[in-house]
Amino acid sequence: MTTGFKRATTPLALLAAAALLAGCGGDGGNGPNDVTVWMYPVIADPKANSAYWERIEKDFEAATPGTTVTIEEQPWENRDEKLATAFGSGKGPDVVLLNPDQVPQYLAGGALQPVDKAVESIKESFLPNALDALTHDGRLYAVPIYHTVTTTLYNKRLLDRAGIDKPPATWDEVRAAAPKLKAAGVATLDYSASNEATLNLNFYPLLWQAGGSVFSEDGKKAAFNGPEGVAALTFVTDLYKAGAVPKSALTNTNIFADHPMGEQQVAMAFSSTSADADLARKTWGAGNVVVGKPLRDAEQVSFGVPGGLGLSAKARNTAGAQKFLAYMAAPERIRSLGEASGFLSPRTDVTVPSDAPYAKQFQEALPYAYPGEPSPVARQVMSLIAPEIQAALTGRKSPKEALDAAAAQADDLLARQR
Amino acid sequence: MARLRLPVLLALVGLVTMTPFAVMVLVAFAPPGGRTLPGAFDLTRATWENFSAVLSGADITRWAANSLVYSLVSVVLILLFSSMAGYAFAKKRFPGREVLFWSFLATLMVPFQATLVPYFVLVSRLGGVDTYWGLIVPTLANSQAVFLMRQFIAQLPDELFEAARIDGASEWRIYTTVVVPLITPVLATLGVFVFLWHWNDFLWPLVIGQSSRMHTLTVGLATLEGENVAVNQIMAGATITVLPCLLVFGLLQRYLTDSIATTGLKN
Repeated sequence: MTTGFKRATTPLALLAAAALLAGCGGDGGNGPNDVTVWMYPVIADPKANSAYWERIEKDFEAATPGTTVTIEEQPWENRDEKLATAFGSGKGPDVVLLNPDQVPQYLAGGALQPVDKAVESIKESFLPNALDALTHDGRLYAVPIYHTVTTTLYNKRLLDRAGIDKPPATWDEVRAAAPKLKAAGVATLDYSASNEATLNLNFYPLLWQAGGSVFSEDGKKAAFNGPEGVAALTFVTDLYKAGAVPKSALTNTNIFADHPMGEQQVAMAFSSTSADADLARKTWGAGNVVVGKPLRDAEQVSFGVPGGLGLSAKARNTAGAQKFLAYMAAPERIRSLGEASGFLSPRTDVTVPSDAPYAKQFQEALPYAYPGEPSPVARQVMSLIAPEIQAALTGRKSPKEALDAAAAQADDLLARQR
Repeated sequence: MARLRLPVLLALVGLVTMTPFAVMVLVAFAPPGGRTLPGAFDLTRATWENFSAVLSGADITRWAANSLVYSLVSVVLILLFSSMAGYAFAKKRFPGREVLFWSFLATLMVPFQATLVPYFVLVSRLGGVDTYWGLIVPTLANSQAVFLMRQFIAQLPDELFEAARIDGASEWRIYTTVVVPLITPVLATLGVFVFLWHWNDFLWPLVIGQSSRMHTLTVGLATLEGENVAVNQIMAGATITVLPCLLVFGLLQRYLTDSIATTGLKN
């Protein structure tokens, strides 16, 4: 019985010894002239993503003699754990791609340094919203290299069926359309209320459209339970009760395919991405897809964030890293990255040339894109609000009770911050 | 009728267990971009497209080799250390034995996320980032494995060890000729578990392997997944990672059933 096992252990033990004796890894990335960049799959096609960043490595080195750059592709999954651990031990990258909501937490830990110097001469060219999202205490902490945007997506076939000629563009129009669509046997507005779904694509855009904000001006208090927040949650709750928001909203997670919007059971969604619109074109047929401007109430706004390159406070080659930031912010790179990724330009003087079918509409939605309010506890606060929204939808609490309960917990959390 | 009840129940449990696997494979072969379910059940439209999308441009051989080294080396070393420690805790008398054992076992209560940062700082100061040893060594003190070994070895009759000692056998000889042959079933069982833990591990390989050369398969495949990746591709990736697990299980299944079959038999 043991012979097979014994026979296998010898080569395995040798393999073990060989592996442990294998030399240290990490060729390059440690020299004084080297710049290490952590990049994520921003280009959906893995092959194209690798090819794009390899080309950037070569081109940058050719354009910047004396500086070498190593671009490491990292996964989105657990990216904060990985980055926090690396920064915490001084082993992190010199340059890393950041979303606006990541900046405050790394700033609080002293892991980032300002990048104003890298883009001094071109600062005026960026979208003001993009710069604001990545600026803290008047200093810029990441250079925007692309911008995402979401907007309203309509299913023309369903609107036609209910006899609605003009797609609903305001809350009032959505409310007015609901009974007609119900008579035609479909829901009106897609919504995602799962605890796993980020609020940036469901409750927050409505809160902003009502003129409200998640946090108070100084970021120390919850503000989402003000009259605007209550109006936003009442808007959704009333539609849900009337059957105008699909019943599956409670478990939906901002996904298009295989969900009510993709399955043509609901007429419109207010936080759709260009990938959603492309998928709709494939599954519904191009004639049935209408991409509109962001939904409007007191304000016209939708969620969209810049992706920016941040600079580690412990970068070994700050000058080289700043050259890389400037290189990536130049019009040619903004254009080539936009073309490859389908994202938009964060600069007002550069447009991404795109033959994608809805590029124009998403470009038109960009001025309304809002990245949300930066807070080191942004994600935790979402997890406090989400269950309360479910409580309001299911009628266990009134919208005001639900938001007050979440705000009380959020205030506790904020008070515990340094 | 009564005799049929158990087989039917077991068949049902088996079916429930197998369904997610079957769905994973079906969805992995379904045409991308379409409806995943029930569309995936249309086998006439099965395609390799999702697999080629997952594997295109990937350094898959390097990642698979890293995963193999990480899993196999850890299996060998964990089995070696945990069986030695298990033997000492079960059969040797030394001051502080119980305190030491229970303190070691208490580490099970601390979630890995809580020790991740100190672990990483320690390993990185020692120069272990992006190395095989940095990946493997911190996982070797496995309290679950030691606990299992100690419990199993404690059941072995003391007379065996006394007889060996009277015959003049050294400790090392007792360990290799008495302990190891008797604990083969539990070694195999534990080997399967440890292999699966390491093969599917994500967080530690993610933080310790910073360059793509040092990614394991789980981490490497994750780097290929964009934010809006189709569920078909995720399932194709999952299918690729699950295959070696099934292989290892198939190879060692005999030992597993042996260890279960001999439980409860007196020597």
